[in-house]
Amino acid sequence: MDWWFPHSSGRHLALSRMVIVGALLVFFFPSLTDLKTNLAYHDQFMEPQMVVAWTSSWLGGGLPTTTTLTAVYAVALLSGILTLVGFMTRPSALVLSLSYWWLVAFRYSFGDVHHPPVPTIIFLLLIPLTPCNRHFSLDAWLRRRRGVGSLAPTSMATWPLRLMQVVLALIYFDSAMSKLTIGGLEWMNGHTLQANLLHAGVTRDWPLALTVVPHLGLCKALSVGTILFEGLFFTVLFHRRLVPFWLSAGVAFHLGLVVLRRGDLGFLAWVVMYVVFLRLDRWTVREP
Amino acid sequence: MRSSFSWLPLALAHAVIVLVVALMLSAFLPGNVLVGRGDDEFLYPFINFPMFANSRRVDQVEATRVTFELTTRSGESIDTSFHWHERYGLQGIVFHRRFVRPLVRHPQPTLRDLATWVSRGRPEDPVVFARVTLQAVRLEDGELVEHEPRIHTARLKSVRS
Repeated sequence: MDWWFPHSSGRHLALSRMVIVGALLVFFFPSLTDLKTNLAYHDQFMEPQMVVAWTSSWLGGGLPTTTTLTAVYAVALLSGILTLVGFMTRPSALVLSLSYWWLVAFRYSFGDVHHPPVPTIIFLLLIPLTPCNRHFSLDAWLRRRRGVGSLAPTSMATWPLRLMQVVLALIYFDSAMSKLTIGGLEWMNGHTLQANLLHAGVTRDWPLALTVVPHLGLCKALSVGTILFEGLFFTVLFHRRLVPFWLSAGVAFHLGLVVLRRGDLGFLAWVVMYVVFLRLDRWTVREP
Repeated sequence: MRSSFSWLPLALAHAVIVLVVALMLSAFLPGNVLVGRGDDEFLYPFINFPMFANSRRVDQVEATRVTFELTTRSGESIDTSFHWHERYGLQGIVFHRRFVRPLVRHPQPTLRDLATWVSRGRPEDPVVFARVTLQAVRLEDGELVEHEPRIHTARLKSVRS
């Protein structure tokens, strides 16, 4: 119980809200043009996800109109800004989580699904249930202006951070187990990574990937490192001292994927999510 | 009233923790119905994470460089650089499954299909010429070897969307 529900000020949760939502709005928010392009070229969804299929059936079936898509996008953007600055924080976070979830589900209903938005969506779905507005928010500022005294520590501000830690650990562990159960130990033979990098280098016109391909020893080492990182990251949950090591390894892992494979920049959102592991609750900056 | 329901946030938090962890763990179970990747329906973001799980042998280290040239009726040359297909509503896996892989066996009809697809969003200036260059790149004795390219061309008098 102490691990999930320790008493805290709630500053860590509030800062995590700001960092993750801020990064989402600035770096990782989907492009409206890209979303509209799907409507221009498709007559129907290819593989509609549950969320999209549900809303589509409520709206009479078929694709949404451009107006509907633009409206959802505007709502997501506005609620994102309100969540970031902390005005009507919890209702805003609820609207942001649902609208952003729908936009991502819409984008991935045309035959291609990717993982980068996963941790962000789960985090956004959690924070409306939490006191994420106790600090670093307009809500808190207005509360202080009304003369409400300082808030007592709460036991409800840490569990979403802990849950995100568990979610990240499970995702990495699942990735390692998939490789070992589907690909076997051969996954680390070096040739698997050579083939992957060759494909990335050729299809993405990325010379850096091609320069690594001939080096079998390096590819073996990177493969073993990947399995060790993904398979053992969960130990961060049990040993606080391992946090700097595993987070550094995670940053190197994701940056390595982006640089070596010309990979999806969206995976850097996972690095942003590492904020849930940092000890920010002792933050002492004076709030306005 | 406040004190009567003070247990609610804690109970809700417990329920959410159990639900989320259960959904994540279900990804480890074979034959799960709620989560999965590549299923017809699934509840994103609760999906499997195979992440390039298949292993390869040394004789499978190969790829095909596919270079497109598309020209429209007005003479405009369409930019087909990195991830160009996404500007035409084709996400990566779909693009490869529907157009790139069939090009090897059926280049002419596939090129026509591609030209037709790209023209859907620009009916006033459709694609009338399409060329693809396929070049195999293989790892042979530790060195990357680029094989002789194969070129296929398709001219389209008129393309209907």
